[in-house]
Amino acid sequence: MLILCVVGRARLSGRFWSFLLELLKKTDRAVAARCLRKHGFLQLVGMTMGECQKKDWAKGKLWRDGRDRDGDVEMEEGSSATELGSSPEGDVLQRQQSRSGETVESICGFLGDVASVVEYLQESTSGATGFGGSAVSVLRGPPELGGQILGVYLDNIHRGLGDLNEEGELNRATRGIEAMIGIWKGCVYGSADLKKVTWHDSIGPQLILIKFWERLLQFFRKHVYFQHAKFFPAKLRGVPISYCWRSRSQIIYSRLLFSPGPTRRFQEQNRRLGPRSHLQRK
Amino acid sequence: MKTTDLTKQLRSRDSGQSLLSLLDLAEQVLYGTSKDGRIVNVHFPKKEEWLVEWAVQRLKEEEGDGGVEYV
Repeated sequence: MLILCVVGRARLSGRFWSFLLELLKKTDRAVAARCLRKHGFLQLVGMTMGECQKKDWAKGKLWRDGRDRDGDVEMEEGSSATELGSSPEGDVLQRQQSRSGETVESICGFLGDVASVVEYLQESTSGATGFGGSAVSVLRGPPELGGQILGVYLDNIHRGLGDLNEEGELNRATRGIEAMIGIWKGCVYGSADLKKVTWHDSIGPQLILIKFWERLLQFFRKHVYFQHAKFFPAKLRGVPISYCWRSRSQIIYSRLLFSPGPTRRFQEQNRRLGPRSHLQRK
Repeated sequence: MKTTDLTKQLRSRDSGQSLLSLLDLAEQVLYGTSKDGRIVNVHFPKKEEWLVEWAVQRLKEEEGDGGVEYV
C-alpha cells in the first residue's frame, strides 16, 4: 500500500537551518531566546526530526550550498565539501548541483545543520546558567519530547551511517549527538513530571544508542579507510573492544549511561539487565 | 525597495510561493547583498529580530507546501 506523506520542504532543508544559525548569531540572545520559546522551538526540532526519518534521502555527500558562510567554525580540516571537490565523484555532484540549481543534501549534512543550531543555543546561553548545555530554557520541554528527539536523531544518524565516508562528517554527526543528549538531559533533569515518564520514553534512546554503537563498530571494522587508523592496533585483538577503542561516540555512550541525576536509577536497572554484556562478548 | 513591500512579500502565503523560495529574499535582507553580489539598500531596523520570528513561525507552520513524498 502506498502511503502519501506530506513533508515540509523548508524544514528539511539544511540551507534553511544554516540560515537560521547565521540569523541567530546576529540577533540579540535574549530577544532570540524569547522568540524561540514563544514559538515552541523544541517542538519544531521534534517535528523536523520526525519528518527527516520519513524522508527518502538522496545518497549525495555534497551538502554545502553556494553561499560561503563567513567565519564558520564548523569547517574542519577533514570536512567533506572541499575534499570532494577534487575527486571525480565530487565533480559529478557539483555539476548536478549547478544544473538543477539545487544542493544535493545528505542526511548527515542536514542533521549536522540542525544540530549546529541547537549547539549554538546551548553554547550561547550555558555560560549564564552554569549548568553546561543541559539547562537552556529554550530547549526545555516535556521529557517525552526530549526522549523522542534524541531517539529519532540517533535513528536518523543510524540510517545515514552508510554516507559517512569522511572523518569530518563523522565528527559532525557525533558532535550532533552530544547536542541532542543535552536536549534530552535538559528535559529530564529537575522535571517534576519525571514519574510520568514511561520506560519507553527515557530508556528508548539508550537502547537505540546501543544499537547505534554496535552498528558504528561494524562500520569501522568493514571500512578500509579506518582500519589503517589508530583505532585498531593488531596487538589488541582479543581484548574487549570497549577497552581498546575509546572513540567519541563511546565517550558519549558512557556519559549517557553513567551520568549523574535521574539516569542513575536507570543505570541500576541496566546493570540488572546487563546491557553491556553483549559488548564484552566481542 | 520599500520595507513594507519586503515584509508583505515575506509574509505572503500564496500556494505558489513556497517557504524555501522565500529564503533567497530573506537572505538578501539579512546580508544586504543579492545573490549576484549587488548591494541591496533596505532601511529595516531590527531586521534580525523580525527575521527570527518569521523563520521560526513559518518553519513551524509549514505544511508540506506541495512537497509530497512516498513512504
